[in-house]
Amino acid sequence: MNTLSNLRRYGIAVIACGVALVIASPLNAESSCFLLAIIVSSLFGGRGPGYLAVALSAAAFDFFFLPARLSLYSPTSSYLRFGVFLAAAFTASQLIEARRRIEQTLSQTQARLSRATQIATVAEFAAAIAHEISQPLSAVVANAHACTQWLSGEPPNLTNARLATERIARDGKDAGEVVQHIRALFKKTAPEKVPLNINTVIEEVIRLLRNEIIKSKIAVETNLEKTLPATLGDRVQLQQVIFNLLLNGIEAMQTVTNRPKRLLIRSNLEGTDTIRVEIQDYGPGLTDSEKVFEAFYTTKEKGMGMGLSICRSIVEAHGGQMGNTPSEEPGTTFFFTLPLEAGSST
Amino acid sequence: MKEDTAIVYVLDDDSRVREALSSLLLSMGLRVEAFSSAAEYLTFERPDSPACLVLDLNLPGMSGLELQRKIAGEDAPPIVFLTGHGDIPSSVRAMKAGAVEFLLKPFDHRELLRAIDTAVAQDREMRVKRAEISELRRRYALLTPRERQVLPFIVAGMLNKQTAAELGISEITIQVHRAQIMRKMAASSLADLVKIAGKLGIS
Repeated sequence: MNTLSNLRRYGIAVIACGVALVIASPLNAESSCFLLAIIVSSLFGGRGPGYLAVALSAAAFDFFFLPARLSLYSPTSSYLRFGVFLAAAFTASQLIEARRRIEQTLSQTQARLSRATQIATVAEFAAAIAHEISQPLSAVVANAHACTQWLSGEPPNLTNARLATERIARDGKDAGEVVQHIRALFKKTAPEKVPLNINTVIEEVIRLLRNEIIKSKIAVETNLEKTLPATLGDRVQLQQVIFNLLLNGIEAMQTVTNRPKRLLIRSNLEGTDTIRVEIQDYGPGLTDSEKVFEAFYTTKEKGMGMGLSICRSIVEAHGGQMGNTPSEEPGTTFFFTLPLEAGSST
Repeated sequence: MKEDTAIVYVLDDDSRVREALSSLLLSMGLRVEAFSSAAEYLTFERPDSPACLVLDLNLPGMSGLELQRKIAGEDAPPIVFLTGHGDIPSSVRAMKAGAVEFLLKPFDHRELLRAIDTAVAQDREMRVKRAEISELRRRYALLTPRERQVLPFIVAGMLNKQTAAELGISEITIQVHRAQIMRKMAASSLADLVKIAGKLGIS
């Protein structure tokens, strides 16, 4: 395999020089033709074939195009011509080789860089998870020590000790849920679908985000179609989708100062069998509307670039679609669709 | 509980951590006040007791570091940082700004208690110093304008004669002022007066 490709590379040099020799004479442009042959060989064959081409052309040039060296009137200019040709040939092959090497290092660097950024985002993700778990875990440990302390008093304070153990159980469960949640994110398990009203889910999430909304001074306006039929879906996962979209909208408008910060949430029936939910913010908008759904792509300083890619996979697991639509006003509108109960197949 | 029991202010936005810390510190016989945000802490009227502040880094609204900067200089209690997002730059900033300790969650309770002890001891010391200074200020306030004018000359080691010449008044008057200053400042000797003046920043 290796010998074969080597043979092919050197073959290029031989053929190129042969062709150059044939066409050089009628064209009366031997230097240009041989130089071209050398460039072609270096470019497509690499360093070895380039040198071979230099050697072959030099020989052919000397043999066919320069006056015989022993003749009396052999002019020095012919040697000069030969010398210049050789120098040009050699320089050309060197230049091409240098370029090839730079290209190679560049692509290697790029590969390394993309690996490094991926590792960095994974590390960031790990840090976020670690924080999520370390909060309840810290609480568990502190409660346990508190409990011991309450029990070792004289007399032991049983009420406080019991309260502490109750908190241990609660916070331990919390930590467990975080782990389960992460597992669910990566496993892409089939969602647990129950009939639900998407409007209720939207309202639940708005309640969850109340603090964030107040803090960011955002006006949330809802336009929910009252008579929406139920759809089949995993409540927690759909909450996660809407949560992510709302939070993205809120964060997008953080820097907005010259216009009101509005977050519009709409739900309606599309055709007869699909529910469509739209979330519109008045932030700076997106530069690449499709890239935002890629994993590890983020426009946020502290983002992991996981949110929207997870959202899309959740929506797709529900048989729906997710995307964004451009708008004339500043900002972004994200939408997702869900099939209605009757039409959805599980 | 007696007035001198230390108060630990716990500031963490996670209610689980807040509850657990409160219970742990209460069980150790400390007084605890817990807050979920910097704003809530700032509006709280702190009683006059030795205290320390156990502060989270990431808080809604004003962050832990911002709060530290804001209350620096006031007679704020020493700070023990306790955080889940500890990075090197913020820990350096926190320590440079005078934090007692920078602990990471999940934390070792002995380490936390030790840090709290250190912080409270520091606060006690500071409070004694502050009380002393305010007492000295109170005494200084009793001096007449002329006496305040004379005081720097005395602590600078000038003779009564020199001071009199400098201020253009008689030596006898300076002697009277001097006796008044010693009495009002409750200084037992000239050396004592010099020390007091040093603490008040008069030279």
